[in-house]
Amino acid sequence: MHICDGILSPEWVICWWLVALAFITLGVVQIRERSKNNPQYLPTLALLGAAVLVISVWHIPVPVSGSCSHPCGTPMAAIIVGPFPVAVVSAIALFFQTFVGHGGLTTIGANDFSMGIVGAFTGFGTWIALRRLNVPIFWAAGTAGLIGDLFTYITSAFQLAISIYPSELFRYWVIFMLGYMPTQLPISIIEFMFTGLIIRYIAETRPEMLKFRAGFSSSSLASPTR
Amino acid sequence: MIGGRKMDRFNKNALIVCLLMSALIIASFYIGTAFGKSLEGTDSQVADAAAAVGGGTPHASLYELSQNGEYVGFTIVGILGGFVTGYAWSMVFDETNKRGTADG
Repeated sequence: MHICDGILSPEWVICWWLVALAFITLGVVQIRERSKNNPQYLPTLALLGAAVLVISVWHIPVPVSGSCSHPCGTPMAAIIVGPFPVAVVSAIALFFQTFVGHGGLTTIGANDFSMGIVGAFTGFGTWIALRRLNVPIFWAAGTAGLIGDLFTYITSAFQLAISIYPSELFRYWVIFMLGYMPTQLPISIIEFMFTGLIIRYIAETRPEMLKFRAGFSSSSLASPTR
Repeated sequence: MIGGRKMDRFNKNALIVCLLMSALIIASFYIGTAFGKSLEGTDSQVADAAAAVGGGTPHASLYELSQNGEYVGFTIVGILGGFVTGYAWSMVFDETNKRGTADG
């Protein structure tokens, strides 16, 4: 999903920046509120920001497709701190990644929308929905990681298609998705594994961390027993 | 046992996961190169394909890293991430902070 500079048209660059900035603003407001009430919120956010930075440049070779790709880490972060703050840490991670030739400065908005917003919200939504259905923590978190990862790349394909070929949007969306998926499907299974394992570990050792995000403190969401 | 201290379950599991992931990456890389695959990043492959049909010129904002530069760059990212993680880890997972400090 690291779309580099020079591909998206200027109007779409501005559009994705505006959308991302709206989410980042809401994320900053949430971070300020939650860090006032919880002294452990900021260190947790920093920890997850560093994790997202490293995980999303962690290139894993997939010999079947002959290329390599990376997981996202944003669904895992969204489960712990909520999806809006993840839009903020993801934008910061994407900024630093431009220094290692990943993505571009003009496309931080587009890349943040795919990874930090769509990836985080779809992952978070999957986690909430599956926990409400009493799916065990490992499977709920793992599925959230898998769904968030795949939707990140589905969104990137959409961003490329709508910018380059708006008149044949669906056709090019499918073409770009087919370009990503042979490599991204195995990577999303890896994202499934580590998201499930990490969230289960947190649920066993620090279950209160899964209640850091306001509004979702129901015991059914973070019960460490399942 | 490391330095006379017994590793706890988490450290053991983390070490096993690190070793397994390293083995997976090395094995995947070996199999890929043995079959003559380029193992280029998918992001750049799709970006190049998009540019080919769309007429744009994909480029990095700041500079393109050379092969050796990538090793240095990714090492710096790993170190930076590791330091931040290590610094925040004790605040979040320290046994003395455990329970009672977070909101509900």
